[in-house]
Amino acid sequence: MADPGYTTGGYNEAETSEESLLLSCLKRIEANPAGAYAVHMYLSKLKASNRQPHFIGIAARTFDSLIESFEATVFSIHNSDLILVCRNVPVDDADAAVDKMRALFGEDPLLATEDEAFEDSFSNWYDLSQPEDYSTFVGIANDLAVEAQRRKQQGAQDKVNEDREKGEPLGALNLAAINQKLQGTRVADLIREQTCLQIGPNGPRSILFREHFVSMVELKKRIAPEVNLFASPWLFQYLTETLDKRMLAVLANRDIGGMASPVSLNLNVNTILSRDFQNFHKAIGKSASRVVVEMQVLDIFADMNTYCYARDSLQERGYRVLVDGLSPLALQFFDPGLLQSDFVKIAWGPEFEGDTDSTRLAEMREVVASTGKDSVILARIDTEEAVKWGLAMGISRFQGFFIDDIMKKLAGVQAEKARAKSKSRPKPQAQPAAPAPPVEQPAPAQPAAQPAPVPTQPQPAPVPVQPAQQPVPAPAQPQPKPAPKV
Amino acid sequence: MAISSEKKLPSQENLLLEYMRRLEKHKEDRKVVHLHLSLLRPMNRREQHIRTATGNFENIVKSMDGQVFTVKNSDIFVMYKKTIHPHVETAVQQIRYLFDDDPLIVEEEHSDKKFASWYDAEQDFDSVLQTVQGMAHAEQKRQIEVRGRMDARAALKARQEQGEPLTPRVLARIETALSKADLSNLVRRQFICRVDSNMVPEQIFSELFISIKDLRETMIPDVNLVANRWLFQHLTTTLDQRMLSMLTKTDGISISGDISFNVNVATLLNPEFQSFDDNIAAGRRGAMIIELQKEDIFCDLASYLFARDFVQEKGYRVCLDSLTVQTIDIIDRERLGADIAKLIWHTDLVDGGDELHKKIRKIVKRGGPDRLILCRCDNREAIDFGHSVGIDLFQGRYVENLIVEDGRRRELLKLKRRIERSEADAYLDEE
Repeated sequence: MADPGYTTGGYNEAETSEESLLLSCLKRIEANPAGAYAVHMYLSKLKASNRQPHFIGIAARTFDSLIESFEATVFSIHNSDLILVCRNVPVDDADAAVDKMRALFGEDPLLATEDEAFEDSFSNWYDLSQPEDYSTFVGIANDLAVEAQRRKQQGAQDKVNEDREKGEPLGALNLAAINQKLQGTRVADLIREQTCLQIGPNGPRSILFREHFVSMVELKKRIAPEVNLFASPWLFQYLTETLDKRMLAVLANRDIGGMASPVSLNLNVNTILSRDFQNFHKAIGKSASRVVVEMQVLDIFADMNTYCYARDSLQERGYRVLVDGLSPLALQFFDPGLLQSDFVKIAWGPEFEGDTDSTRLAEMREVVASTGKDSVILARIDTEEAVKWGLAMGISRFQGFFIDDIMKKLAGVQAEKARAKSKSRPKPQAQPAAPAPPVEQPAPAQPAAQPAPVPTQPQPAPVPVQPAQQPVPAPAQPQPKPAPKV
Repeated sequence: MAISSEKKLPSQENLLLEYMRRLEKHKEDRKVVHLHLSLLRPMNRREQHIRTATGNFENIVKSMDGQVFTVKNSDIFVMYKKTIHPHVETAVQQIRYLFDDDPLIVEEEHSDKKFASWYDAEQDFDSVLQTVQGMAHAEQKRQIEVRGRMDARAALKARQEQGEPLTPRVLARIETALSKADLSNLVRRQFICRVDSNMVPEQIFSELFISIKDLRETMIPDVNLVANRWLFQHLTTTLDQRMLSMLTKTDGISISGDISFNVNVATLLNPEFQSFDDNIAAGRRGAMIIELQKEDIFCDLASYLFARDFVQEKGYRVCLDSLTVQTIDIIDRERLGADIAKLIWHTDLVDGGDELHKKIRKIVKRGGPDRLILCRCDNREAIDFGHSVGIDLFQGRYVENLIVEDGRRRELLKLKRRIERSEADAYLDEE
């Protein structure tokens, strides 16, 4: 995309990678360095959610007019960085173009720093006619090329991450058939569970509830292996309405009152006012207080009137209501306490980790306090750091991969105890040998259980806003919480 | 006796209303306290809390010194004899202790939300009556509205009136048809006007949109396109592209003056928008306003923020579309960095009470008069309401009528002048 002159070339990937194009461009400059300079823009330092490929594409296009009027080229580096190489271009023009591109990311913490300090954190200029600058910059370009090569070899592994989005996009044409199939497909065996745990300063306390959800990856395999169900957020939402019905039917037959901990499930607002929910209520009404109903903020905003009614009618009947689908970003834009639910669930994302901006942290703490710290749940927890961070914010309820691990360990310890006890008993054969998966393991919906996220991944962000209906391509990272829209 | 411990008895509001009517005859020496339990956090207003709260007034009821009513939203009304005012105060204080960790109580001093409102039955009779009537009315209306949408009877009626609900299969057919059809004759335009107190409209800009009603009538007369929110929303992404291509072809539709149009956030990041933007004269961008739906914005905030910066940087303005009475104080235009917001007119805005009106007034004041538009104004009441809270800009059928009327008036004026002139000419001729 960078330089139209090059993109028409052959298809030999290694030769036409942006990095190698940059290197050969630099070689030409070495022969004739007069008037040449480069600007390296560190888009790789932006928040993951701002590094989505189509964002970077648009950012690169900001330089179109510069390229048309002058001798200038933009290179899109694999890690999202952009490199602008110019010859005899007025610095003011190049600077204006860089500024324009920078303005696209106005909300990013990287740009929140003061303008003075900014120059260093976001971009760097190299006067290529000076041998010293030239060799520094060639060094950088070489490193980038090596890294790009290494990444290409890794590519096979990244493919796995893309599995979820593989296939033709879900569209009106294939939707009818898929919806039909969903209505007749067995889903009970695809229901997974994930624990929401209360954690105090001294460790785990009690289970708040166990979220029941349909593994979307498994479901996709079963009903539409060749279709990317997440291509349209709206059509995906449509499918979830059908899924709701199936889920309610299955759960109505399970003994919710007899389960060890309360249950939560994700539903559309419309579903709550439907006959399917009435039937569910008839079946489990006595255990209503043990059921938490989760609704997506997108669905809520689409029709607040209906949400308010659904919320009140649920609360009156003893259910508890949870607002799902919030990202830390969303908290900057509205106060979830105003939705008057019993709980709000915020998806933890890697952007929290590095965020040391004290104002934003204070804001966050304030949101937690004003929403009621007992109401806030931090989801998608995949590291201990995330828990620590949450505790520091005043949050004590957590859900995610890391919590699943804790639960597994706890169960393991208990099983160990039980075994020890049974061994001390005289009749050892009473104990079945199988250590047995302790609790029903909330197997996440992610395909081929891959290890921790590849941190260097340049790709898109795990767009935290709407876990279920991501409109953007593959989050590079296995989502801690599998497409949770039940 | 009107007292009832059964909170769910549907007629509590009506019983309260009836009691108010009887009270009217002997309202002297009585007082009323209204406890706003509805403002507590949900976890603090479960049934047992409400029961405990009402229990504090048991003695007063037993001694026939007062009456207690618990209405649907959990608020409590106590009407009592002035002589026992200290007892009531103590009881209210005790209830307050029950909820002393709730933000309502904690922040009461610095907030305009109060836990209790005290009234003198004689002096404040009308305002108490109004509050009670409003509550009974609002609850009833809300139930009818929402139930009306959901139950089978209503669905049947909608089907008869509006056609079969849209299905994925039909949606696919429509999308194919749309990709070829010429939609320029379905494009409608509605003006956003500043309307003064004499109801004279001044055109500020116009919104271009594809008439869904006409689209339906030309293409698929028996189908209700908006029956499913999500399918419809998906359909709009196709319409976006058609709209953009029409706006690119300047001969397709006339786009004089400042205009606005509705698109999805995702559309702004598509190649279609890029090519639209490439083809538009740079100066035109400043005359264009891009309208975005709130649910679309919150569907993917990161994309919204990027798209917003992208289009604003190019000179377009961004409008946050379809705020409602329930979302106007939750979703903040300023924080979202949109230039303009549209609030959908509904009579609930009038019924919303002083607090809501104060909020809207504050929003208008903070953003300035050119930032909030009251849209879908069907009648004069909408304009009057808007004026009462400081809104200057309006859109809707009624505004279109005003424009026609205004045009007619101007024509008449012109005609009159012409007649006057020709009379004068005739006079001069005679001379």
